[in-house]
Amino acid sequence: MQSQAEERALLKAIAAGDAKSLERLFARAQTRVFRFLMRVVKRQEIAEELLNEVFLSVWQNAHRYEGRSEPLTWVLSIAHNKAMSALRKKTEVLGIADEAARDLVAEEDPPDIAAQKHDKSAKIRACIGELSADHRTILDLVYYQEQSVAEVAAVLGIPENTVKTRMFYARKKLSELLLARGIDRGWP
Amino acid sequence: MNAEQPDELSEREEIEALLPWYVSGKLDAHARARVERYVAMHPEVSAHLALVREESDATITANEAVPAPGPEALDRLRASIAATPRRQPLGAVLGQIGNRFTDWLAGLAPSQLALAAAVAALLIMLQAAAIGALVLERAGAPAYQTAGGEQTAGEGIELLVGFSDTATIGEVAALLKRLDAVVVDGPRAGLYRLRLPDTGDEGRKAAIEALHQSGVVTAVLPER
Repeated sequence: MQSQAEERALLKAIAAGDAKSLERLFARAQTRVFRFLMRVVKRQEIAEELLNEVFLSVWQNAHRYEGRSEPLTWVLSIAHNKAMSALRKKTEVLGIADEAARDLVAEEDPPDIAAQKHDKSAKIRACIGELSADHRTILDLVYYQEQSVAEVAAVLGIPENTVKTRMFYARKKLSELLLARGIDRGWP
Repeated sequence: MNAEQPDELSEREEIEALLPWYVSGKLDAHARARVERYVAMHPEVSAHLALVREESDATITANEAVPAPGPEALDRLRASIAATPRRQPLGAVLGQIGNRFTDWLAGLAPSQLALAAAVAALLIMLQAAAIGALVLERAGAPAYQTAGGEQTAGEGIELLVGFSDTATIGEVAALLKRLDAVVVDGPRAGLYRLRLPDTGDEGRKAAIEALHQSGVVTAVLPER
């Protein structure tokens, strides 16, 4: 909570034009935001470019932050929009459907993955990597970014009920993928 | 969202859908109590919590395997900031004008203060013009007319409005355009006098509501 209060204070100072506060916020949030971007776009050079764009946008729009969400949630929502926009551009260039473009990018997953077949946790990670971008993203937001239902809704720009059902079906799909690898979780 | 995934869940599924947030401690008190009641009545659901923890651990490990951005990321950001003009909120612009004016005043000899007072009045009018000239021009008023100038009688209703320190001139202009409003006076005690078309009581209420909802207005006082 104290951390969030500090981040709110940093955003206020950024809104007033304090570049040092932007650097401090960047230092605090860059890893989480970069990982979020990497998990969506998969390419390091694209994620680095987007990370820069995200914090440039924070610099330019901090005065628009109204405190209705936590600072990290606000920054992640900017990151999500930038990442989706980057994927859309990729789709336009390649002339293929959105999901297909994401899967194309997903094919380039760093294989943490199939090599480690003996470890259940590695199998779960491998199966998470096989989920659709929407499903993988929502798992990341809930488990790694520790966002609440309302915060995930704010980041993704979808209703809270859709957040719950999307998470439910992401987990269901994960169980199906694990079953195909010989792990029966007994659910659903 | 994928078409094959309905938004409707059974009660059991609804509880299961909440478990990830139950485990992460991110449920509000009401939802948390709902989950706990259900689990107390259906103990078999508690086994599901172990699955959630497995997924959570795996997801965290997968994220932590992604390297952090390199140290050049900050340099890149600094360069981008230096190369990109920053939009300044209206409050900051006016504040900077005020600060420069204060610094200038501090450097004056007492004999120069009388002249300084006259200049101060002019600067205040210029500050007001940051909003006023903008909207009066849109309303077809002469370009030399300032918001601090004399009030002109006209048809319509008038409201005293305070703008947020973070409001930009563009945001104020867009709001005024949307409401077909003009600034006819101000700032006085931080308030601007706006004139809007008289569209009856309902129109007046709607305009006040729109001002409140705009996100750039801090106060609205009916004038006449």
